[in-house]
Amino acid sequence: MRTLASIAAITVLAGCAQLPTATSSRSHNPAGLEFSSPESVGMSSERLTNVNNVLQGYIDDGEIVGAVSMISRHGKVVHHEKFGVHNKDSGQETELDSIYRIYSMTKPVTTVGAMMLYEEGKFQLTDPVEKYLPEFKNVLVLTEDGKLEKQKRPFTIQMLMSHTGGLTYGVFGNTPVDQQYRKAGILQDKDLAEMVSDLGNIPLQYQPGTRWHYSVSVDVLGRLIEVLADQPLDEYLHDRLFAPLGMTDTFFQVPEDKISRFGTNHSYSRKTQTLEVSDRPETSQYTKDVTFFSGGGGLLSTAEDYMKFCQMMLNGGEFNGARILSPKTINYMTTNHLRGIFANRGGEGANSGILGAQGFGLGFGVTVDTVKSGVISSTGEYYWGGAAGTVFWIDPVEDLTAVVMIQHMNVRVPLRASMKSAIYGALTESAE
Amino acid sequence: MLMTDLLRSLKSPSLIASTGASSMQRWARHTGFFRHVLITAVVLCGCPFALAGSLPTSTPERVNLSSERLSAIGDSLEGIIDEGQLQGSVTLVARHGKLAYQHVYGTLDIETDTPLQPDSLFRIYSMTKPIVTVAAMQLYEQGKFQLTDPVSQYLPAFKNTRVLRDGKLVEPSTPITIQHLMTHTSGMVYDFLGRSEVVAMYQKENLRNAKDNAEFVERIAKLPLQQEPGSQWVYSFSVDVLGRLVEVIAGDSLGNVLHDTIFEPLGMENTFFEVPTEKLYRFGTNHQFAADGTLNIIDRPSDSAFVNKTTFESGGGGLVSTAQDYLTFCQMMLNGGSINGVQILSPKTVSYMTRDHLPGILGNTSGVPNRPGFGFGLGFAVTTDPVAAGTISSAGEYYWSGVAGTLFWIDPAEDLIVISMIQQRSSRVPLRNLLKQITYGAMLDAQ
Repeated sequence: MRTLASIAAITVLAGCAQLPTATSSRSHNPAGLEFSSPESVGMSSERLTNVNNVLQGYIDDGEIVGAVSMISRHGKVVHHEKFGVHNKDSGQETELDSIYRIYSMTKPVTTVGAMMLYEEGKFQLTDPVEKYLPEFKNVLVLTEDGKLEKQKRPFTIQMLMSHTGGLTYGVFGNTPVDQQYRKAGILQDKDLAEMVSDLGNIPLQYQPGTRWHYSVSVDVLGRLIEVLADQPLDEYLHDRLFAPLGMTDTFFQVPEDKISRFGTNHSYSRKTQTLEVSDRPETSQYTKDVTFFSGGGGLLSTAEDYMKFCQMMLNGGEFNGARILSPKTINYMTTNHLRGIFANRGGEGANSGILGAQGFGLGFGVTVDTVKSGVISSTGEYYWGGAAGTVFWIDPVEDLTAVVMIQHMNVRVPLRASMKSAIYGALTESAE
Repeated sequence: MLMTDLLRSLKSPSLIASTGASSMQRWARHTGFFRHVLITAVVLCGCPFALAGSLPTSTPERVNLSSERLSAIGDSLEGIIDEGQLQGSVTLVARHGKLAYQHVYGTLDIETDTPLQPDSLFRIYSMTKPIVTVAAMQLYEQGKFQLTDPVSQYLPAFKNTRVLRDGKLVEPSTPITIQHLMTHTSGMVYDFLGRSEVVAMYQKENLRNAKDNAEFVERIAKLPLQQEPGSQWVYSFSVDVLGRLVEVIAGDSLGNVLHDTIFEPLGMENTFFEVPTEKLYRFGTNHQFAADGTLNIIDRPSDSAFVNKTTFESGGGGLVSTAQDYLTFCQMMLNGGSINGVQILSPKTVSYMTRDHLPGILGNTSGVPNRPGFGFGLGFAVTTDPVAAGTISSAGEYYWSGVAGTLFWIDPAEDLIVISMIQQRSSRVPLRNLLKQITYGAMLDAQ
């Protein structure tokens, strides 16, 4: 019924609004999203073709094999385009509904899932993680000079959501703690419970609340959801987020009947100087029986589905009649939490941030200084990306959101920055 | 509506007569009937009769709150009360000047099994402090004193008060000012918090048996200060001293001053230091868990100091009130000092009171010890940084609570007030944070 109603709505829209030339394909229908012309939301169709030119240019240069891009403003999708191929082996073309490994773009989704439980009063952000995951009881901190010491402040759920608790990733660095993660096979565990149990035996890499360090925190958060909601993370996210938002193509495992929409993943080889296939549907772990529901990086999704999630955030927590969070909670999540967490008294003192110009909220990076970052955007814009190069950002000032899907593990092109310059360059009206 | 009718019918003499009051009480105890049926979780419908004091009612949706999501307040509280963590609560949410949610559940008096009612009376203890500070600020607006005046100018007993430093009594380097009293930076302490030598001296002095505010001040002024005035935030008897200061300046008892300048003008008919006999049936038991987990009754109407007032009118913790009365007080603050045409303070004064005074007084940002993100104004704590606090809220939100677990907060950014009345010392439930996350989670818009 929902699909039929949406088709009807889009048909009506198509009848009365001038459809943009850039959004050529209407064959696929993303339920719940509304479409309009760039001009109707203060953007130029002509200038928006820079997005197409940039992405096609990357493909022509051999930097990526394909992409799907989607842009919306004032709640209307004004651009939904496909480029190149989705499967490098077979040459199968990219489709608008192609399925992508979104890796760390799972983190905002999991954090929203946790904040729904927060709104229900199921936990406090200031609660120590060990209150719900006793595996973390008495976990020590390994100092830089190799000594084990006690936690000076408790490792809280707020720190878990903002990568400030003392955990690390294991795969990106080579500290003594990273080495212990690798030895224990964190992220190769059977399930989240086993991972948390392994993590409980490894010290923290730094004192809780003293620095931002990218980590398995959101996988731990996924386990926290399982414990508090008494439900496996995949079911919980499906029931509470994906079903209400109409995100029918987001999951931890590609269903049998959708494998044809799942493509290859790629990695640039220094040796051969070419893009090599690093994962293929026939052998991918994403098509087998998935039991490790990685809250930090396990989801697969489409540009449309992720756009629905972003639009829910941008709308202040509601999309398509489903209320997920309150606007107040979203404001709180997308505020920079780093200063407040690092400071011992109300926001003074340490401000290391991430990447110099960026802050971090609960589950999202937050742009705090667009001049310092040197990339056009708005203060308060929030975002994240995935290890396979996927990007999104949500800009409450310009009421704009963009999702770009690619599959490339160590991409060499500045995709996010070039998309920002092309998209912000297409604005004919600005809220600033 | 059905619930309200049921409630009325249960209170009606005919029903009680037909079943017999005592047998009905026995039956209720036996079945837990009151706990489960006498709930007035009123998702307000803008009904013509006013449920709470002078505030009009509204549907949650009309003030941009979700009734469905607000109902989680009731669900949570009922769970907590059914578990025995609390005995009962009256909880109100108001936004944009309208009462949008009221939840009443549980027991007023666990000895008689009397159910709570919307107009039940609660020991509000330290929620007295904001009221007394407002009374003092009315006198300030009249030019009766300066905030920077030494307290000893009005209460000469403080002329000789000393600071205990390294075992020696020394003259304070700066006098205690009235601003210090209103912000707990006077150097005084409380007798039930901390373990210092000065706290021990307070305990020995047994200040709480003072017969009136005059005697209280004479005695406390003889005790040394724990730290230099204006050097540190330490929760204290300061507002009791402020209460006496109000008496001296206004030339009347504190009870009379509060009645004449706040309660009567605002129509707060159920706020007083001593429960009147005809309202005694609305007053219940106060509770505390013992170390071994058993629930003790620590105060009962039959022998309560709030019923037969034998001690001083404590400006720091002596009042009894209802959720509705306190909502009227809070709405006056949120409105910038007036409600229903009655001006208590000016908006300028309210905004001055609800700013963080600590950096200005202490000359640093050490703030409230161990409470990152919080500051203190005149009579109210102020949330300065909700992120550092780790609980969802707004910068500029101000609040306080009482030792029996009662709490309120006022959020000017979201035009919101929440009040919850319970009677439970050392409660194990994080009630304020719980109400914050659910209430803010029920908002349909945000600043």
